[in-house]
Amino acid sequence: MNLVSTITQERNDPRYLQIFLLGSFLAYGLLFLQWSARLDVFAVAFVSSVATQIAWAKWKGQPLSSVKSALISALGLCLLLRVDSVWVMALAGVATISSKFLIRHKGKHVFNPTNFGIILAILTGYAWISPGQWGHSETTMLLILLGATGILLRVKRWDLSLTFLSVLFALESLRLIAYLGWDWPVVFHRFNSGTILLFAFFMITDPKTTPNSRKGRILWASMIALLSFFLGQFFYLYQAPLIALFIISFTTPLIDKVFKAERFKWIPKTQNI
Amino acid sequence: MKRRITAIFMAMLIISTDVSAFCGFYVAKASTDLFNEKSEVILVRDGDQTVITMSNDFKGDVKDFAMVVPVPVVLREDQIKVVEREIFDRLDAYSAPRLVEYHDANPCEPMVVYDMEMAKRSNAPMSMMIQEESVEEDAVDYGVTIEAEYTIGEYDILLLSAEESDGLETWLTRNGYQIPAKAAEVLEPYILSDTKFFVVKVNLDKQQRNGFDYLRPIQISFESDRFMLPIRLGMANANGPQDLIVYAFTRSGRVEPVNYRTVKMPTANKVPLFVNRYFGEFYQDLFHRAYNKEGRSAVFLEYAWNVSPMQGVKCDPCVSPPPVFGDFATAGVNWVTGMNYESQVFFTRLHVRYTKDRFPQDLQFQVTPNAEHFQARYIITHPAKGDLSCAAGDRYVRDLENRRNLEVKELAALAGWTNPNYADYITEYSKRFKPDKYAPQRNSFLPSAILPSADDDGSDWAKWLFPLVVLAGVLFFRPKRKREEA
Repeated sequence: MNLVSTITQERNDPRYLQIFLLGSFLAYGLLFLQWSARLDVFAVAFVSSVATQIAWAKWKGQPLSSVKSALISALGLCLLLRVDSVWVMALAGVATISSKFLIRHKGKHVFNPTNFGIILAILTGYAWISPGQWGHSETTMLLILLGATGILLRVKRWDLSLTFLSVLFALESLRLIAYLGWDWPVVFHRFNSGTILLFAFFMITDPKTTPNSRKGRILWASMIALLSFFLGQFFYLYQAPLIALFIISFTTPLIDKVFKAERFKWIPKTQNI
Repeated sequence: MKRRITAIFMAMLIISTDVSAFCGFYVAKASTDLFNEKSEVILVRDGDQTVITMSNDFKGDVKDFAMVVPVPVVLREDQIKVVEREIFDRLDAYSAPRLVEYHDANPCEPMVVYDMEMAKRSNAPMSMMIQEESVEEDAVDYGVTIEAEYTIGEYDILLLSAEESDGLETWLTRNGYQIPAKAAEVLEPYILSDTKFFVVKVNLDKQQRNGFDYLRPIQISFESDRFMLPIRLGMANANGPQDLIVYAFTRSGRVEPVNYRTVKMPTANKVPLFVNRYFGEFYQDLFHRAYNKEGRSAVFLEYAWNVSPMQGVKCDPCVSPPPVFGDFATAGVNWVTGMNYESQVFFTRLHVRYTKDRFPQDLQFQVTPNAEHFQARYIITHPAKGDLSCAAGDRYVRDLENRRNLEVKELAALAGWTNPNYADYITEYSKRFKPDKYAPQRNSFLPSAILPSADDDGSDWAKWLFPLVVLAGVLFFRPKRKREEA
């Protein structure tokens, strides 16, 4: 493989775009949405994620290009997780990355790393998520939707986002409008939320931890939407989508066994190599 | 400049109200225009245990008072209490946005100690309500069940469950409650999610025997995994935006809405000296601007502090005494007592201005471990007193003019106040201590001329740039395929 093709392949890696987009969202939140800018916490998120990734990669003899994934995980933690002390963020960073190496099934990690780290951090009692932090402004939604379009065209996982959002929308509309008799603005208000969109477009679309076949993915995303709906509507858990993703992740190996397909690779092999 | 803090000013936010209500709506027999503008509520959350205290700051020429509040369970008699109004006044005084005063030391003189000024506050008196007799019709015909009936303090309380909203509406109307026109459709979702209705009216005999000329707050406690305030019901007879102040107590940290964005009020801003005469107006305008700037859809944090008995500093500076054991007991913070003084208590004050269109969902909260302190605090600085005719004094007067210039700009940015006369305030000391009329007028511009541009709209276009940046990024990082084939 010569240098030119290496560079070209690197450019083809959608993770660069993902890093750019998540970074933009973080900057936007800090500049315009009054997120608490705790630079120490952010620094710890990056250092712990990247250091853990490098350590595991060296030990397992893997290429260091996987640091890009660690950066994405760290950005995800900075965007979603709010902590009381830097130690919780350090724990989340280490847990996020280590889950990829420790909890595996047939060479594929089971949990979405960021989701795993967030759930673990919340369980400590010293971390929380702020689902309301995005507010409900049009600019924020436009920003996320633009970014989402960009990334989904690249990783080809729009089936997941679309299934999750439409199943959840249908269920919530049925319950809130048809059954409880609320007005449409209630449903729109629930979906016009950065947290749910970020989850639908950037978290569950992680190609490494989702089922390999399209049929499997549609089933998987529908199950997440269904569970998320139940946890949110009947157990009043505001972290419902994150918990649902965590639980449904256990079924990924089974779904892959039933619906067989080729596994995702970040950098597709080009024809002439 | 060396400054010492010597005195504290506190002014209450005064919002003119004729009628104010909690989350429920007021219903009245007289055909009076009903509207609720400001209400206060104390929330205590410990695990699944919730205590809600609602202030009945009911005023105006409405002949009758009644309140409907959705509750998750049928409350027992011992879960309902009437508490004294003072708890709200004390919490409000403790946590209200504050104006803090500093004094500059005279650079030409030794230090002088100034007197402590008293906290200022004002409160509007509450007027009396009259309750007319009514005959309760058979509830069963309307699918309404009276689950429980109590007389507590000056209130007659009913706990209702209903099968459908029209029945409940009819029942309420037949029993002499005049309910808002759109009440039925607002009641529907609550009935279908198996909510009970806590219906309160005044027992006139008791009320007169008590001798109070106002209605005391009602406190309810119950267990529920939902931590929320049903604001939607109160919008049925709302006439424009309504203000809600939430005082929340938890064991661990701040209370935060999960379905709306929380925004901190601007704080630690230096404002001109004369703001102390108009602090109430200043905060009203400041809040109004912040509310509009955040798209009229945010919840504002005004105060957050650890008020545990063992916590040393409970405010910085304190404008009124922090809550003590008696206040905890009144509010329903039952995990802290004199016997149990090592427990942690965290206090949060939130200010919500809600309207039908921007707040389509009830307020849902979470208790976070976030114990970061916050207070909405504005600073005025008194210039040095006495003779300033020394070299250091000249420098001081120049610095003062620059500072006052910034204070005036800050005032325009925060509250939107501009006035050509503010130029006099800026140059007050420079003129007094520089009598030479030929001296250069280095600050002769009128601040109002430049101020409109210092408005909040400055960041708006920058906000819209972001989607463009993201779009550019998407295009930049697009795959460069088939290059090596070429």
